[in-house]
Amino acid sequence: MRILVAEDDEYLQSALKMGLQKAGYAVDAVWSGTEATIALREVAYDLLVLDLGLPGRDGTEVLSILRREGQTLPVIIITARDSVDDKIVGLDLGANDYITKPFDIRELDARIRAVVRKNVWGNKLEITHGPLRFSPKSREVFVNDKHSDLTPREVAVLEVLLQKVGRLVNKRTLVEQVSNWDEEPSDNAIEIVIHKVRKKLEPFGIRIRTVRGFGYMLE
Amino acid sequence: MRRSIRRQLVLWLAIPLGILWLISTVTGYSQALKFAEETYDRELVNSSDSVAARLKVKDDKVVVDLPPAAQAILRHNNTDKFYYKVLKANGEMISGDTVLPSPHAEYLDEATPRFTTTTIGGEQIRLVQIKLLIPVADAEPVIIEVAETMNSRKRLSMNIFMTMIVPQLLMVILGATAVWIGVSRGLEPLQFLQKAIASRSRLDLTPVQEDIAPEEVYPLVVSLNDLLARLREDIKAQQRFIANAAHQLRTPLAGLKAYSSLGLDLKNLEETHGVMEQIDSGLDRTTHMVNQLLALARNDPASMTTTERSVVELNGLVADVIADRISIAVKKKIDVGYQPAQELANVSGDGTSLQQLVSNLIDNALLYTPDGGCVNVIVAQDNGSIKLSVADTGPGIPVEERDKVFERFYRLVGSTGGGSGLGLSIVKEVAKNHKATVKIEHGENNQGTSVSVMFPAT
Repeated sequence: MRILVAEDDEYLQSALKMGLQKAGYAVDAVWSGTEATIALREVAYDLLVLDLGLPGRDGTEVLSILRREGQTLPVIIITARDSVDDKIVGLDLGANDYITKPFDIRELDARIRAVVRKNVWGNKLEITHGPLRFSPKSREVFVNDKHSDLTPREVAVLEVLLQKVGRLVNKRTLVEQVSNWDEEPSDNAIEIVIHKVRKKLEPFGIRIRTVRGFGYMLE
Repeated sequence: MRRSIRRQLVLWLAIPLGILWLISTVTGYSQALKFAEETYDRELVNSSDSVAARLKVKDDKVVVDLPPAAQAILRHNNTDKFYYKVLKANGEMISGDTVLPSPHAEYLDEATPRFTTTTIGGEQIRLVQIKLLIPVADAEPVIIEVAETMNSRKRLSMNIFMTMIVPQLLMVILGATAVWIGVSRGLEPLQFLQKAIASRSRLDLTPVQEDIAPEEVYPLVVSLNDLLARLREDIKAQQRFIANAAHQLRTPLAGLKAYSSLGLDLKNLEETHGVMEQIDSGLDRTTHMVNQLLALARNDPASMTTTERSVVELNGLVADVIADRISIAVKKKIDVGYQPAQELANVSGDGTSLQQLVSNLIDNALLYTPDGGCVNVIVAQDNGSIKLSVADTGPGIPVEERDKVFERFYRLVGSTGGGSGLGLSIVKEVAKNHKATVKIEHGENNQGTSVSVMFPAT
């Protein structure tokens, strides 16, 4: 899960980044609306956290450009404007949710999970794959009804594979899903994560196959 | 009672009109009386001539041959009584009514009739006396006196008086009424205007219709619309400010809330400490923002009425501000240069506001200058005018942005420092309140920013 945060306030931006990374997301951040539009064209994000009061290009503009270009990724608006009209405008432009400053980071996390659950999992509360059970609601993984000890990052990788069970997931896609601009995206890092996930899940008969030169597949 | 234009106009017209009416009545009446008197007096002289024609000399004696029939003709009058008397110059009675008095008979000139108004038995009479020389040898001159009561004269004068005064009075009343109505109709646009404004809602600040206003009221309507336009602008600016202030206050609060809620889930002490540090610096930032907002409110022209003016010495003030910020400069390895004016740099104004102006300029310079840069502060005095300039080696402000940076909450795109976006607005407001001008230029070597504030000589 890779998220773009568009927020011009350095302080809030760093708080959001820290909070979302702790929750296991790969997070990139931009300061302005112009940068946001460019980033959204370059990287396939799974979600956009968008501040409306952005310099350069207003958040509503970023949103309308995004939707005009046919991008369907979910958008959660964060804003200091709290009038009903502002909310209506934001939602009408194609935002999926709306949260008013100041907010609890755990609430934002919950809203992100809810939006992703709906968008990726079609509101399913649970996804099962053999002895594996994944809860999009809490982003927890259970094996034989027992809570697994996967780290948020490992859950993020598994989540991508779970979305395409039996199909090949490109290695680059996986790299993009779990890395951000602050770190050099490396195939190596993904290989390490995959290795750890295998080690924790293979005893239960869950296999992740490597397709050399292409990527991975959850069998 | 409130001054009324209508009353005033009517009074202004009615009072001179009334005075004119009085003058014309008095002069007209007295003129008419004079003509009437002359006419009646001439008739009286005619009557005396008739008596004179009856004088005869008999045996060297003057007698009056006035038979009763002739007397009846003379006396025939419905309204007035007629008297006559003929006497010698020495007062000796010859003929006629003895009741008739003979005032100043001895002073009479020959052939010049003399008129007197006197009374008989309490009744006013007009008396004419004529001295006649009898063209007979050594006959003494005689005095003929003719008199009549004045009823006809009085009736005539009353008639004249009435025919003059009534139409004129009617004219005055008509004039005043016409003025009253005219003024009322003339003031109708004002009432229309009053109704148009009274029926507005408190929030309706659209301009008043200008085309219905007559020439005299037009400037008033235009000024009113000007005022409304300014009010609209002010309210819009106020709303923008509130929206911006809400954003600017909620965003750091959102950061604080994000960090504090993050901290609640942390078990690791080291991580918790990191979050606490973030919360601490966030609180400093929020405090700064609140202080900046208060500084701006304090320097708002609308609330400037209470601040006192005193002499503020700028050399010392700038030195104090720099001294307070030395630790920041040291931390960022910024070389701060300060060149005070040779003489005392006295500015008349509000010390706290000027301190905020200087602090904001120097804070901005320190904030936007990268590590290892330079900040140069100069206070210069020239013929009483004082120039304060703060130059830095930061990224500079593009020419096209130099006006906008004074707008409240305006921040350059890509500026990431923890600025409130209010610093230069505060500088501008304080400068304005001190009649000073603010100018943004390139710093030295076309690099960075130089902001200078010019205080006029006092």
